[in-house]
Order: sequence, then structure tokens, then C-alpha cells
Amino acid sequence: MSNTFFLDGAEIPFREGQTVLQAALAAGQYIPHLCWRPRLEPHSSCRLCTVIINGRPFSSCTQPAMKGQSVACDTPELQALRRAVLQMVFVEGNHYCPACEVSGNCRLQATAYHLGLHDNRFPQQFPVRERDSSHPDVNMDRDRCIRCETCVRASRDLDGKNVFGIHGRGIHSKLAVNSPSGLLKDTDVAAEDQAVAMCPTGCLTVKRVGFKVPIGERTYDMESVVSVALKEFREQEAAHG
Amino acid sequence: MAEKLKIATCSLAGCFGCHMSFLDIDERLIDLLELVEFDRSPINDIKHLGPAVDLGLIEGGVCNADNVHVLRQFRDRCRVLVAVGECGITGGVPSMRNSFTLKQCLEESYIRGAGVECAHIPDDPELPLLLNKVRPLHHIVKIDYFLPGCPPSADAFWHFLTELVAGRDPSLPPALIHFD
Amino acid sequence: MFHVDSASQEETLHAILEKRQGGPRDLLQVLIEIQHAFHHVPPKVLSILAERLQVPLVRVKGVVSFYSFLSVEPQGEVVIHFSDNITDQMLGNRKLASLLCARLGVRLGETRKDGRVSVHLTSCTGMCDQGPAALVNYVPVTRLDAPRIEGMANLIEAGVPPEDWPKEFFAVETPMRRSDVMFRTPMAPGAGLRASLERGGERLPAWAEDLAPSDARRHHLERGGAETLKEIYRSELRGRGGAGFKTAIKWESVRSGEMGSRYVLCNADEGEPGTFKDRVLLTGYADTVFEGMTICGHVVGSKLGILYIRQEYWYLKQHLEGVLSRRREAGLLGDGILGTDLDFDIEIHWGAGAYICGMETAMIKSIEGRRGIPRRRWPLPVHMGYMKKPTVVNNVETFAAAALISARGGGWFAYNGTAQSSGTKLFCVSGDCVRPGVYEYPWGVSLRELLRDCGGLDAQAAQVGGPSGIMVSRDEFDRSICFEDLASTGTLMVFGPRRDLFNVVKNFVGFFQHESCGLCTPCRVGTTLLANYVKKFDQGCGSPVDLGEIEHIAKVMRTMAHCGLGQTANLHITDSLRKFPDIWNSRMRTTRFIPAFDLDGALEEARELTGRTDDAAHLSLEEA
Ligand SMILES: Cc1cc2nc3c(=O)[nH]c(=O)nc-3n(C[C@H](O)[C@H](O)[C@H](O)COP(=O)(O)O)c2cc1C
Ligand code: SF4
Ligand code: SF4
Ligand code: SF4
Ligand code: SF4
Ligand code: FES
Repeated sequence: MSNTFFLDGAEIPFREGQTVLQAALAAGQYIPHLCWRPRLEPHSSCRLCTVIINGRPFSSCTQPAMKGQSVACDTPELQALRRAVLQMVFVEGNHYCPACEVSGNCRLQATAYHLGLHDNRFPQQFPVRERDSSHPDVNMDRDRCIRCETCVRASRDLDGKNVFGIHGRGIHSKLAVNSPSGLLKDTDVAAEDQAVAMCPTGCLTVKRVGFKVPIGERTYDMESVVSVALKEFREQEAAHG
Repeated sequence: MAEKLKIATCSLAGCFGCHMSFLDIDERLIDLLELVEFDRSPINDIKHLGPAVDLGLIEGGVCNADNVHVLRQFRDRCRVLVAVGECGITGGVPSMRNSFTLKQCLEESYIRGAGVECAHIPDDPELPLLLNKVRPLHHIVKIDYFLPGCPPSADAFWHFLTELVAGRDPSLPPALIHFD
Repeated sequence: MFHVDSASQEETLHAILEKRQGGPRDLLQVLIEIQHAFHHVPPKVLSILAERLQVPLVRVKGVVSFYSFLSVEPQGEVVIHFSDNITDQMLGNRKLASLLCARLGVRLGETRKDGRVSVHLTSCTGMCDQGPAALVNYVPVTRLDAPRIEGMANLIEAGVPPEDWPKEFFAVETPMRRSDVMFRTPMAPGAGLRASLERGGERLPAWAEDLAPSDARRHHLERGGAETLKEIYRSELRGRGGAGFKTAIKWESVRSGEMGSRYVLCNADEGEPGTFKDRVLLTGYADTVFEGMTICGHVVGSKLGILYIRQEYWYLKQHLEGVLSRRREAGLLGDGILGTDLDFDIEIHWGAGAYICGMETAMIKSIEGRRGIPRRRWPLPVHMGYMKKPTVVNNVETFAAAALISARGGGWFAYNGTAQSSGTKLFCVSGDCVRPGVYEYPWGVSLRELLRDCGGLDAQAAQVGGPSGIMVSRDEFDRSICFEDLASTGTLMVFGPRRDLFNVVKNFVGFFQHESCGLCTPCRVGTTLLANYVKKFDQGCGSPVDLGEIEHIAKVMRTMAHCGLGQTANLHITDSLRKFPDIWNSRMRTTRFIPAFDLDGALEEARELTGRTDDAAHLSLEEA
């Protein structure tokens, strides 16, 4: 008999070594997540995947699945807390969705739709952050960076490059790049890098492709983040096991 | 028949796009008028806000002193106040100026910018003074509901208003939520 | 000022790098030495380090920008950090800092143009019992007052290097105001270790002789110290660093972990404001602490222990290194300890100004030379810790207790305390009391008894366990301090009847905002949002709507934050709201909503640009 646990009452099978999130996705159950992606080390930073196990909160992207445990995920209280964390993401940066070239193709935005985010609730911080358009093919708009370090991990572990890093601490921490000038043009980043492709926001974008897909036909005009995330997981499992 | 709900609308730092989208509910407007009547609104060109309004819909954020006065008057007189559209909810496109100082913005527009003739920052007392940053509505008064979108679709307006008028939670289902 | 290219600088740099093996793990320790030698980390050095230590430049800069005591901007020849804990503030540190700044003609947080001096504020430096305190080139000066500030200013202007300042400036006291069974009679160096070695424990039983050398069971059985572990079990010792985890269980997990190296880390980060017991232990009882680490090494089968200590205690460097070399000479450390086949040694790693590095997985990263960001919670350090190997992390006091337990027996230790909290515990008392200092009591002591003994019974409130702990009011003084009731790292800050407790909240909220590592959203953003709300109330512009928002943010942080910092950074706020609502209510202007920003102030820029002063060029806080 294989190992199983219970996610909101549904029985979920798992393999030894799988996290709660991985097992859930493999079983076709979505748990909200932003900083976790297949093939990357978990990062524990977005906290959206938080679930309650035995009365205590855990990030499901790092918590190993254990036999028989019961996991609460889709409860009104947790959804409200997740919404609040997303609202914090939005007030911390500057997200002008109507003017953003990834709008409609943006993970962050699609996750906000899924969680029913209507507003940002908290006072917007309106930070002033540096943009970096120095590179011929890749644009960096820190206003939209949520410091999930997807790019940091993807560049290091998938691209083998170490283009990105984080500088500073706390609310003042910011995305930085690996060059003495601190500019993207002096790094070895390339438009084809996974680091750029996997950024869940419009912070890292390839130049000259924005706004090409008409409204109504963009990724999340057609599909919800749930089906996109489940599809991505299945594809990666099939390709990499 | 029960008394109709009184609705007022206005546009602050916005583009009227939200109002246009509202009107896009087309023939459903007639159904709506069975239930509500309009007080101050650009739709009927009534300029003054009545003393007691049931529902205020505000498009646009707050960019100047006059916006603040209008918003406060709406808050005082409307039982329920709704921020409509990204501008009202987050500051939206107009708040993109927040990455710059007001000085930079005004000098670009009135002194150094292309095509400027008699360079001079307008200082007529008739003009409302600009705030240093464009603000979403909920920074200045308490907002009861938010109707997202740029603009919210006609379906979103319709869903929101019919649910609200019926006394239910007017939150949009995920498929109707858009930030663009 | 310094030029990176100068030959002498080149030489210094080489001397610093020479001593090291030159791997990425050396990065932080090397940076600290460079900061001390050059008073900053020159940009050119960043690239040299990246190359020499094989760390991408972006990560080198990431480390420098993470730690408060490292900087790429040149600091003065004399760098002064005023400790800014609430207890320092209550003793007037801000006035003294302003006084010094005025005397020297430098602004707080800046370096004087001639490069002579920089003056900064920093989080609690662990001298709360003898504040107000400051660090001068990372060495503490205590009991600051106007004459001492005057003296410092004169010395700085005269160009006297801090090494030549009067010794009494740097006097640090270590008052142990009350000692109980643990520290009443000192333990002779080696007593605990000898007891542990003599107890021996399971050597390899006959049946296991045939196991292959690589067999994990063999490895496990070969470990000595099983009997000592039993004593630790018997003592029911729980960690003294905050979480109160059973020490024996932790040691046993590492002991039975997979084949290969394992490590023993001693947590002397002591960053919780108001806490200074580890300083007192490392000053007067360093032998006992190191002995506890060595015994742990014996029990779990480790060859290397690391003391991770905050840089605020830099002045203890010589002393600690001295104790270590004495122990090596006495055969208590190094290869073949006390003539047995036990090898164990201890290294010292320094922190660089980051409270979060007291959190165990952040500490591990810091020891690995990286940004001190808490790692994901699973696997636990006992399974995968330093260098991805099984690792024990314990507090200074925990190791000291373990040494004493080894020497005197688990039963001796467990005799004191309560059902869930065995033994005695050190408490650091500061604030409004007659006798601040360190007190040893059995767990379960009532707050009232502690307050009576330190001469602080007229207090209106006390903070138990530091800013991340619990704010208690007078009617709770009969509660007892133990894991069952008021759990605590052993910190007690006393607030007298005339204190405005809002200042406490202001201090704590600023502390957490400054110390949040920034990894996770709820804490990174939540601490800032809370700090902004506190500021709003401080300006007398609070409203009931804001109180609801504050509670909401606190709740989000408690459930959603990744580590203990974010989960607890809001407790002082909700405690004070519940127990001292007046400090909040008196700062509310109306019962209505008030903007979180200064509305009229938001027009100031436009007034300046247009020169307008008419009525319409102003906005009132509320509509008339
Ligand atoms: C933000 C934060 C700061 C901490 N600071 C310290 C510290 O300065 N010293 C300490 O011993 N433990 C500290 N801890 C607790 C450690 O993570 C860890 O639990 C402890 O060192 C384990 O040792 P113990 O079992 O002996 O208590 C801190 C925890 C958190 C979340
Ligand atoms: S990155 Fe996403 S959420 Fe941010 S502005 Fe662009 S579309 Fe909106
Ligand atoms: S650039 Fe994108 S991937 Fe990188 S941290 Fe920012 S949001 Fe995450
Ligand atoms: S939200 Fe969009 S449509 Fe509505 S006013 Fe603003 S810019 Fe115009
Ligand atoms: S809770 Fe705070 S300190 Fe802890 S990981 Fe999150 S941001 Fe860092
Ligand atoms: S997905 Fe688990 S914390 Fe982000």
C-alpha cells in the first residue's frame, strides 16, 4: 500500500522525499505558490503555500509529506492570509498592471486573480527603485521585483551563470547583478536564459516582444494559474522525473 | 415599489475609461434604472452632490487638492463608497509619476519639455495644487468596496452592482477580476 | 584616506588572505578583518575577494550589504556605534549621541569630511546593565555621560587612537548578582570532560567487531559518551536560547546521524536586546562553555566546534583565544584529549551586526560565509546543518549547563525548577531597577521575586524575553518564569511608573524593521507597515481603523512569516494594545479615518514650485 496523506480531506498519494506541495501537484491539486518552481531548490520566501498541519503553519513547498497527516489548505482563513501576503507584495513595489508588458502573462497577477484580490488594502509604499535597460535584449524593472530569487536560483542552477543576487537587508534588499558596474549589460545574461523566462513578474523581460499577444489571447486570459501551474508541473515531471 | 437607491459617480485622477465601461452594460442600464437613480454623475451632468446618497462610485486616484475635497464630500454623503478601477484602487497609470519628484514632472512639462513655449510653472490660484504623489483613494478616506480593472469590464460592473443592490457580497469571481 | 592601490594596503590584504585556506567560507571572516584594517571594504577589494575566494562578485557585495558592521563607504578612523536599545534610550543615549555629534561637527549616521570619525546608532550591544553604551572601533565603552562624551570628543580631536584611550573608558563589569547551584561554585576546568570520558559509555560491543569500517552501525556504536548522554537526558535540560528544545534529543539525533563529519556550534550571537548573560558567561565561565562543547563533541562524535559570537563582543577576542590555547596546553582540547583517542577543537567565528544570525540556520549560513538568511525549515540542522552535515546548535548557557551536568550529574540539575523546566536559569535584568545585572534562579521564579531582588518592584510593566517576548503589566507580576508560563531567554527589562510605554513600542518596532532579513514577504513588508503605523500614532494621528489594520498585520505575520523573527516581531504591539490601550488611545485624534501621510505636507512641494500661499494651497487633516 502506498503512502498517503490528506489534503483538505482528499487522500493524496506521495513518494518518499516529496514535499506536500509536490505530492499535491502530482495529484492534480493546486496549492497557491509563487517562489517554488519545478527543478529549483525551494526558497520559502513568498509564503503563499502555507498550510496548517496539526494546528501549526508550514510552507508546503519545504515540508516533507508524511504518512497519514492531515493538511488544511483551502480554508477561508488561510486564503485570507494568503491574500494579505499578496497585498503586501503589491504595496511594497510599484505594479502598474495596465502599463506592464507582461500583464496577462504574469504569474503574480494571475495568482492574485485566483486568490480573489480586489485591492491592495495596505498603504502603497511607492518606493523609488532603479531600472536597468542597459542590456540590448533583457530589461530589468525592479519596480516589479518581488525578491522571490527565482532568477537567482535559475541562473545559478539551470543556466550555470550566477547573474543575479540580492543586496541589502530587509525592506531595503534589492535585486542585483553580477558585474562591477552593477549593470545588466556587463553580465553574461542572455535572452534565452531560464532566469529571464522563469521570472514570475515583469521584472525580467525580453525586449521587443512585449504586447505582441492581443488582450484576450494572453496566457491567463485563456487559463487560470491553477491549470498553468499543474501543466508546468506535469511537463517538468515528464521531462526530468 | 421600494425606494430607488441613489447612486453618484465621479472621475478624479482618471481617464473616464471606467465610466465608458460602465455605460457598456448597454441595455442592462435600463434594468439597472429600475433599481437605482443617479445623483451627481458625469453621465447626467449633475454637478452637485446631494446630501444623502446610497452608493458612491469613484473613478481615478487623488492627484490634487480638489480631488481631496471631492472625495471627502463623497465620503461624508455616501453610505457606501466604492473605488472603481486601478487608478482609484492603486493610483494606476497616473501614479507612475510617483517615481519622480513633482519638480521633475512639472519642469519636464512646463519648462524643459519638447515644444514648451513660454516656460512657466502654472501658479494660478484657480488651479488645484498637485500633491507630491498620486494616491489611491483608500489612503485618504475609508473605502468600502473595490471594483478592479482598467477599466472593470461591463460584466464586472453589472455583477458588482446587481449583487450590491441585492444586498449580497459584491466580490467578483476570479474570472471577472482584472488589473488591466 | 585609504587607497586600495597603495603598497601597504596590498600587503595588509595579503596578510589577511594568507592566513586562510581561501574558500568561499572564509568570506565573512575576511571581510571583517578588512573592515577593521581599512575602515571599509574598498570596491577594488571586492573584486579581488571574488577572484581569490571563488565567489561571484554579486554574492560578495550581497554579504557586505547584509551586515551592519560592513560598509563599502569609507568610515572614519574612529567609528562609534551608540547602542540604541530602549534601556539605552531611557538612560539618555540619544542626547549623548547628539552631544558628541555636535562637539565633533558630524551628523549622526555619517562620516566627518576629514575622515576622522563616524557616528552611528546600532541595535543593543549587550551592555544594558551598564548603559548607555557605545562601541568605539567595535570595543564597548560603557556608562556614558556628558563628561565621558566630552573626553571622547577631545581624544578624537587630538587624534589619539582608541587603543591609547584611558582604560577606565573600556571597563566592562560582569555582575553576577545572584548565583544558585550552577554558578555558586565554579567548576575546575576539565572536571566535566573527565567525568564524561570516565563514564565512557558503549565501546564497540563484540558482535559489532566484524562490521565493515564503513558500516553506519559501527560508526554509531563506536561513539563514546552514551552514559553522558543519559545524564543529559536525566537532567531534562532544555535549550537556553529561546525555543527550549530538549538538549539530549538534539544531541542524540546528531549522534545517530549518518556516517561522516558532524559539527558542534555554540550560539553566542546574543542579539535579543536586553540580553547579556552569554557575555557574562564567556567572560567569567568560558572554560565551562568550551568544556560543554567538547563534551558534546564527545557524545555526538564531532571533531570540530565553532563558537559564533557577535562582533559587539570583539573585546573578548584575546581572552577567548587565550582560554582556548590554555585548554589546548592542558590537553582539554586538540588531538588526543586527556590522553584518550578523542580529538576535538574549537574555532571562533565572528558575526558582523545582524540579529537574525542568532537564528540557528541563519547562523549556519553566516558561518559558511554567506548572508545570514534563515534556511528552509526542513531538513533540520541535526540532519543537515553546517556544511550539510549533522550539526548541534546550542546556546552558550546550554553548553555551560551541559558541562556542569556532566560533572555533577543529571539528577543534581533536575532537582531544581518546575515539571517542564528543569534546573536553574540566568536572567539578565536591566531598565528601571536598582541592581541591574545577571541573576541565577531556579525556573519557576515569580516575576515579583525577581523584581523585588533587583529593586524594581514599583515597575508599571516589564518585558520578559526581550522585544520578541512578552510585555507584562503589574497585575501579572505573580506569574512565574518557566516554559509552562512565561517562557524566556532570560531577559527582563523593567519599566518604571513614569515611563511612557509607547517609547518601548517605538523602539522595538524599529528594531525589528531594521533586523528583518528580508527573505519573506510577511516579515519584510509587515515590519515596515507596522513601523509606519507606530509612527502615525507617534505623530498623534492614529485612528481606530488603524488599530484594526495593526491587529490584522500582526496576525498575518504570526502565521505566515518564515522564522521566529517575523512571527514574534508583532507581539509587543498586540500585547501593548491589550494591556496598555491608553498609550495608543491617547495618540488618536478622532474616531474617524485619518490618512497615513501628511496631507498638507504633500502640497508643500507644489507650494514651493508655484510660490502659492492662498487658502486653497493648504489642506486640513480633516475636512471642516
Ligand atoms: C530571530 C531569532 C534570533 C535568535 N537569537 C538567538 C541568540 O542570539 N542566541 C541563541 O542562543 N539562540 C537564538 N535563537 C534561537 C536559535 O535559533 C536556536 O534555537 C538556539 O540557538 C538553539 O540552542 P538551544 O537549544 O541551546 O536553545 C534565535 C532565534 C530566532 C528566531
Ligand atoms: S509584474 Fe505582473 S503584477 Fe506587476 S505590474 Fe506587471 S502584470 Fe502587474
Ligand atoms: S527578478 Fe523576477 S525572478 Fe528575480 S527575484 Fe525579482 S521577481 Fe523574482
Ligand atoms: S482605471 Fe483605467 S480606465 Fe479607469 S480611469 Fe484609470 S486609466 Fe482610466
Ligand atoms: S521572518 Fe523575517 S527574519 Fe525570518 S526569514 Fe522572514 S524576513 Fe527573514
Ligand atoms: S511557494 Fe512555498 S514559500 Fe513560496
